[in-house]
Amino acid sequence: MEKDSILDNIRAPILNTLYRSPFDGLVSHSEKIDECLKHIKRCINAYLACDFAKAEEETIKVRTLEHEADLIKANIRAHLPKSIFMAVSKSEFHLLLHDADSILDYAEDVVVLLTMKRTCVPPRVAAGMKELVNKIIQCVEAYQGVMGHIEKLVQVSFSGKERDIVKELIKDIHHFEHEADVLEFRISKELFNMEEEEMDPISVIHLLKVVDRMGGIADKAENAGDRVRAMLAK
Amino acid sequence: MLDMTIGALVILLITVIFGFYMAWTIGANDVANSMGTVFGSGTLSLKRIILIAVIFEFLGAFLVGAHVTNTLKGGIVEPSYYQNTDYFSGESGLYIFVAGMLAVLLAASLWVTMATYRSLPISTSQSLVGAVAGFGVISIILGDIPLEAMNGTMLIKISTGWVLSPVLGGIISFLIFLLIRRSIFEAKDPEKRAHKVISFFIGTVFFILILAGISGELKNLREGMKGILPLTVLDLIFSGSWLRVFVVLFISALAGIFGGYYVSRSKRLRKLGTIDRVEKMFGGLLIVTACYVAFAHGANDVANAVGPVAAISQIMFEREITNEVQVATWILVLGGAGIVVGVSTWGYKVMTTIGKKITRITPTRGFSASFGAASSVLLCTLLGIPVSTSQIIVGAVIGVGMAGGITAIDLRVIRNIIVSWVFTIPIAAATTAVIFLVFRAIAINIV
Repeated sequence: MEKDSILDNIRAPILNTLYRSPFDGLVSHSEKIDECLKHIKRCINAYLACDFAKAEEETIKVRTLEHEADLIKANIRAHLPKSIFMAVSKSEFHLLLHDADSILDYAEDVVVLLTMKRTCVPPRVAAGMKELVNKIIQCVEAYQGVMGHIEKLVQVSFSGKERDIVKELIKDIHHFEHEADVLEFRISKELFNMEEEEMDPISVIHLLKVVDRMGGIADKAENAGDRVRAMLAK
Repeated sequence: MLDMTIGALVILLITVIFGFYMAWTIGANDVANSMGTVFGSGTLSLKRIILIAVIFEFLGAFLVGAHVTNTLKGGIVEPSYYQNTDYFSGESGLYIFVAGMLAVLLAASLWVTMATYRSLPISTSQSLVGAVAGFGVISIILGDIPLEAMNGTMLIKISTGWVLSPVLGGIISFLIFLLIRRSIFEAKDPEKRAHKVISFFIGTVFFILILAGISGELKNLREGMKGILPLTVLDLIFSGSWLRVFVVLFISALAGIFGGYYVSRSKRLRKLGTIDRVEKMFGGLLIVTACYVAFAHGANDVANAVGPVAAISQIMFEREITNEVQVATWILVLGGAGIVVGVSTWGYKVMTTIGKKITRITPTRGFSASFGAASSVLLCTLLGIPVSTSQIIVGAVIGVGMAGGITAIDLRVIRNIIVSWVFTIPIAAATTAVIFLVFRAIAINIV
C-alpha cells in the first residue's frame, strides 16, 4: 500500500480533537454482563438440581467472561488521559465503570463459592433461591436497559424524553433490588432455622454466603443505576 | 504590458505555476478540516461534498478573496519603499521586491510540501505570513529598507487573530450548541422546536453568505452589468444602503421558511424516533453550513496562494505596486481554480482516508462547530486577517465539547497548535530569508 502512504501522512488536527468515546467501552462491558448473566443462571440452576459437574462447567465460563470484562475495563481506564474533557464528569464515569465491574465481581464470587462445597439443597430452600436468581436477573436486566439508553442519553445531553425513560428504568432497578432483599432475608431466615438433620451447619454457612453474595449482585446493579441517576442530576 | 522581456515572462510563468501549486495544496489539505464535520455526520455523500466544496470555495475566493490577498501582498512589508528613489535606484527596487515575493512563494511551497510528507499539520496562512515576515526582516538587516517599512502593527494584528480566531469560533459554536440543547433537546416537543430553530439558522446562513458575497468583488461586476440591468436594480444590489440589507433579510427569511418546511416534510423522517428525526432535520442545515464553510475558507485561504502572485503581477504589468483592494480578477480565478482542483483531486482522496476516522459527530454538533468556525473565518477575512481554518475548526469543536455536545474531546490538540504557532513562523521566515538572498543577488546582477 505504498501508494497511500502520503495520504496517511496528511494530518487534520480535527481528528485528534474528537476522541474515541469511553462510553463505547462501557457498552461493550455491559454486553459482557449480558453474556455472564446467562451462564450464572445456568450455573445456579444446575447446582440446585444437584448437577454439580455442570455447575462447575458454567463457573469456568463465567470466570472467563469476567476476566474479559476486566480487560475491557482496563482498556477504558488506560485510554482516558487527563487531557480528555468529557460531556459527563469524568469521576462519575469512572465510578460508574467501577460499579458495573462490581456486578460481575459479585457474580464471579457466587459461582466460585458454589464450587467450594457440593450441597444438595432441600426443595423449599431451592425454590427460594431460584426465585432470587430470577429477581437478580430482572434487576441486572433493568440496569442493562439503562445502558442501552446511555448513548442516546449522552447525545441529547441528558435531557428530554430519554431522561424520563432512564429515570423510570432506574426506579425499576430499585424496585427489583428491594424485592431481591426481601427474598434474601426470607431464605436466610430459613437457613438460620435449619434442623441439623436437614442440613449440616457448614453447608448452612456455605449457602448463607452464597445467598449473601447473590443479594450483593442486585445491590451493585442498584449502585450502578444510582451513578447514572447522579449523571442525570443538573 | 506588452513590452515584456522573455525573462519577465518566465518569472510570471513561474509565479503562476507556484501560485497554482500553493492553491492546490491548500485545497487538498484543508478540505478535510472544513468538510470533516459534514462528512463525519454522514449527511452527504463524499461526491456531493466535493461538489459543494468546489462551487463555494471558488465563490468565496473570487468574491471575497481580495481582502486577505491584499494584506499578504502589501500589508506586511510596505511596498512603496521599493519605489522610493531614496532607497533604490530606478526600478531596481521593484525587481528586488519581485525577488522577495518569489522567495516567499517558493519557501512557502517547499515548507508546505515537506510538512505534508512529514505528517506535520501545517497552516498555510501562518507559513505565508512567516515567509513574508522573513523577507521583511532580512531586507531590514541588509539595509534595503528601514525598520518602518515593516508593518509591525499588522503583524501584531495578525498574530492576535491567530490566537483569537479559534477562541471566537469556539465561543460561537458553544453558544449555538447551547441554544440547540436548551431550545430543542430540553423542550417538550423537540421536533416542532427543531423546525423553527432550523428555519432561523438557514435564514441566517443565507443572509451572511449573500451579504458577504455582495460586499466583495461584485463591485467590478456592477460596471459590467450597467447595460443589462436598469440602474435602480443595480443600485439596489450594489449600493451600501439599508434597503439592500432589508431585501437580503427578506430573501433569507423566505429561504429559511421554505428550507425549514422542506426539511420537516422529508419522507425519510417518518420512520425514525424523535431525536433521530431532529438530527436528520439538521442534516439539511449542515449542508447549507458546509457551503458557508467552503465559502469562508476559499475567501481566506486563496490569499495564501495568490498574495505574492498579485504583488509580482502588478509589478510586471504596471511597473508599480499599490495597496488598493482591487486585486486583478484573473489572479483570484487562478487561486480559486487551484483550490478547486486540489479539492477534487487529492482532497477527495484525503477525505476518504480521514473521513473514515471521524466518527461520532451528529449533525447538530457538526452544524454548531461548522457555523462557528465559518463565522470566525469570514469575520477575519473581512478584516483582512489571514487565519488557519484548521485551527479555528479545532476551537469550534472544543467549543461544542464545552457545551456538553461531544462525549470526549482531547485537549492536547491545543498544545500542538501552540507549538505550531511557535515553530512555523521562524522556520518559514528563515527559509524565505535564505532563498531571498540568492534571488536578490540574481536580481541585482540583472539590473
